[in-house]
Amino acid sequence: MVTLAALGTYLPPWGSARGRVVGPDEDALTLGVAAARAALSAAGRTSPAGPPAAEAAAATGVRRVVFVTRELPLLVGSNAAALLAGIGLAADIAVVEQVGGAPAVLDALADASPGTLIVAADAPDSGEPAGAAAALVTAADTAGTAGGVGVELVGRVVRSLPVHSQAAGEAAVRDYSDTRLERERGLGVAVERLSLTEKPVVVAGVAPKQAATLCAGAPPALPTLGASSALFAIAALRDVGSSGVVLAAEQASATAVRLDGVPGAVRRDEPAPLAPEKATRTAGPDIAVSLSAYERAFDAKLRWEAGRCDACGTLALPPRRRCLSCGSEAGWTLAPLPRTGEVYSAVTVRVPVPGLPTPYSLAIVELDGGVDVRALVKVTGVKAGTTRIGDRGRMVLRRVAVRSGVPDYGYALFPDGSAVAAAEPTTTDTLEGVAR
Amino acid sequence: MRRVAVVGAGMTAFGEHFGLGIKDLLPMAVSEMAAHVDKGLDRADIQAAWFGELTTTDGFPSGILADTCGLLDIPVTRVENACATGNDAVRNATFAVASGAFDVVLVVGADKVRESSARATFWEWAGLTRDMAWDYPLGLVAPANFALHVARYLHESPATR
Repeated sequence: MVTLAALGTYLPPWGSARGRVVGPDEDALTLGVAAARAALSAAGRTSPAGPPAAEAAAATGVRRVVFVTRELPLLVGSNAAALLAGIGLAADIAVVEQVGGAPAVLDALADASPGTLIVAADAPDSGEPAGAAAALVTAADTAGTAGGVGVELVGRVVRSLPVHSQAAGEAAVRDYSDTRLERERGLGVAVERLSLTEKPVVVAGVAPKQAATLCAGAPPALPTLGASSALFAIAALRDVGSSGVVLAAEQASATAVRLDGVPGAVRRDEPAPLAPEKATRTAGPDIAVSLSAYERAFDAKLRWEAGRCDACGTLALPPRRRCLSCGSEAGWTLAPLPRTGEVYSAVTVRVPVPGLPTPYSLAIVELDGGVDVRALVKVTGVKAGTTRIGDRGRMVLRRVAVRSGVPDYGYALFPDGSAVAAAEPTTTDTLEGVAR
Repeated sequence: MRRVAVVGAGMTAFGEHFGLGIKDLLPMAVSEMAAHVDKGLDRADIQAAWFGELTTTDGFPSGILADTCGLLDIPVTRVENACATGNDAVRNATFAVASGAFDVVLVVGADKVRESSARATFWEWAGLTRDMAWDYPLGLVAPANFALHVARYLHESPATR
């Protein structure tokens, strides 16, 4: 039995009620980071829009991160450091990067040791829906885990029926195209072999119609089908107000867990969907990367931290060797920056730019808190050209570009208006903080 | 300081000039300048040259100017100062004459942009103008750069579009 302390979910702002798609500046890692931050703030471990202060980050108690997706951004080169930096966790935490779907996530959850943060992300380019969710596991007796709920493995069936497959090196998923085979010999046999004594409340990884045939009542609809759907399923228990069995399936395999209560701490970062923008893509060369510049900038850039002058405390983004305020070259220390701010100036680029989808908007953002820091960033999550001076928003991790094959992560401005509908009535308590 | 005068000027047409390299364009402009000096110019009177060029093409700029225009055995200096490059070349040459160091100097401004594929040129120039880690991939094209300033100026001042 493990204790699930908190859940966080994230849906990209693009798509429709039928499903979300990733924006041009998102991938499995940025999706996962958003969900993980939501989970940690649901657990009360970080302020939702603010940076985790160093003490708060230390207090998260996270000792291990398990990142489950079928769309790992880097297969060689590791996504671990970017994941930890984006979530705001210390760089000495073990990260497991795992290729897997919904059952793999329940497997990871059922076996998790206290202090494990499970991050599940779906960013498929096959047209299947995108989203991410994260779960924080604590020791059963951890103080401050009000809302914690016990999770126990019910059963697991591991079989092979690769109706959908993608071999290493293949660019796309192949579809064997036999839905009846998949239903009867895949999910059907897997469920039969699980010999559940209790019908599931919710089923992850399968189409809603199939889920309905397996459940006692009408199961809640889930926004994704891959790894993240398993945690969306657990979060959905809160919506239906029920404990019980959660089943996660993927083709011919399935894992079932039982929750002994309704998850209490759930934060959903789920902005209302916008129709994806029609982007013009102009072919271009590989955008060059300087890995020495990348390495020097990494911590400040991915953790959203400025250099604070050791002599006078003035902040500089990016950090400067010589303080502009007092002239000291004695050194600087990284300090978290506020993650909210106001647009100081904005511009929209509509001309074709080789290698970048256009149009896009850029903004200079004056950060909150009187820190006297302005940042030049891209605007995300809204249609290009809709951002005005004075608009408010929050800074979110995005994939700014792919440079010679290397994802280049940084922060973008997510204007507030777009996230208003995040506080849908069906979702939970705590969205105000995320949206502001 | 002595007063300084411009005594001749010449230029090539603006264009992509696929058929002409920087080594063609430089002597063309210098010859047109020489032809426009009242009472003529003895090129041997040129004592120094300043060359404003933002990006290098076909080699180090000072040497290319000296080599293609026959300006051997005199100081030739390349100046780069972003959009103010040409003006800054004029300023430095003016100081040299005003100070009395030289009596006759040459100023040339040239850039041969279209020497790589249209797709590649943008990112080559971005590499020249932006911080490699923080700004380079944002796609801050030059007009957008100035537009950010202008948008804020319009916001704060009574100016209108």
